[in-house]
Amino acid sequence: MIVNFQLWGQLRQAAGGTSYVVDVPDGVTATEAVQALASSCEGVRSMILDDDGSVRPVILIFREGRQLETDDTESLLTGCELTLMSPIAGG
Amino acid sequence: MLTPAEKAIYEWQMWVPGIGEAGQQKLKESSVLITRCGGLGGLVAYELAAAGVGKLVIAHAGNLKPSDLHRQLLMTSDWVGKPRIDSIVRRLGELNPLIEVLGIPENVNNDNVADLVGQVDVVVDCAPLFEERLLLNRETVRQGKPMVECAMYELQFHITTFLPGPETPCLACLHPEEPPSWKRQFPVFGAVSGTVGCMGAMEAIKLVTGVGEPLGGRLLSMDMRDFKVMESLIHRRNDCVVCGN
Repeated sequence: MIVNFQLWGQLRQAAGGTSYVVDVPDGVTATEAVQALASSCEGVRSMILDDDGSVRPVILIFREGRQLETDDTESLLTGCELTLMSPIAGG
Repeated sequence: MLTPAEKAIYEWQMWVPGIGEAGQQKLKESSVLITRCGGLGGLVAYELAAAGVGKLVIAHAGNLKPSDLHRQLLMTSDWVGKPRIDSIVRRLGELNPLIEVLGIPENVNNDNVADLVGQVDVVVDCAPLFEERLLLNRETVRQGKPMVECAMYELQFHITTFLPGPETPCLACLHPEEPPSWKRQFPVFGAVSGTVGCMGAMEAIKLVTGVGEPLGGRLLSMDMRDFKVMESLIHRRNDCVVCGN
């Protein structure tokens, strides 16, 4: 099934665009979909995943305007949209 | 009490419903810490000085570089090589000599953070490094002070407000560690830092006066490339090392 990602922060430049589409098995969770994105897009992998393959806690995941936890167990539906945000600061 | 000169200066904003003389008096009696005071914080400070916040505490170290000038609007080109904080204090004083501006030629660090936060009612976090931001967050949570969180990158920005108490997350709930990919220097336009700086100032004014609804528990993001706006609900982590249970 298809999951659409909207990317914010440094993830955009790293991925080469504002959005990214990933084909994942039916019934995956948001965290599993994010891991699939990181596996298919080399540019964002180290930003999203730590050394043991877990999603870094600094990465924010949103679905339909709500922040998700990395232990969220709800299965995604095909065509759903997730927003990923990497940390940004001032200066 | 507001003086006739103050009433003359702040007349237009006192016409805003909910402000009046009472709201302006709250601003006069309030104090705000801004750290740092560059492209983003400079606009926060400028707007709060213009609005008549009685005391601004500004922490910003270092000397002005040419690469600061495209976004740091409290600087002037003849000041390159000289302390940024001197230009900040001078420019704010020129705009509004009726307020107190306390310039600290240091960035937030372990030694000064408790004193800096302790001097003010509201903190606006504009620092470029997460080491400073997380330090400031820890201290505002400890002292029970609200912190307006402003950030930017390229043509994007976001803003939220961390309120004391259990209703909203703190910065460590969102980013519990320093992100390894973040660098102090990054792509951005001054118009982006200026926009989010003005919004941060408005958020501080709302906190002081009680007018409007602060962005507690809500993260407002905008991409100025296409003016796409996103408002997201953010929540507290029970296992947060700073504010969690």
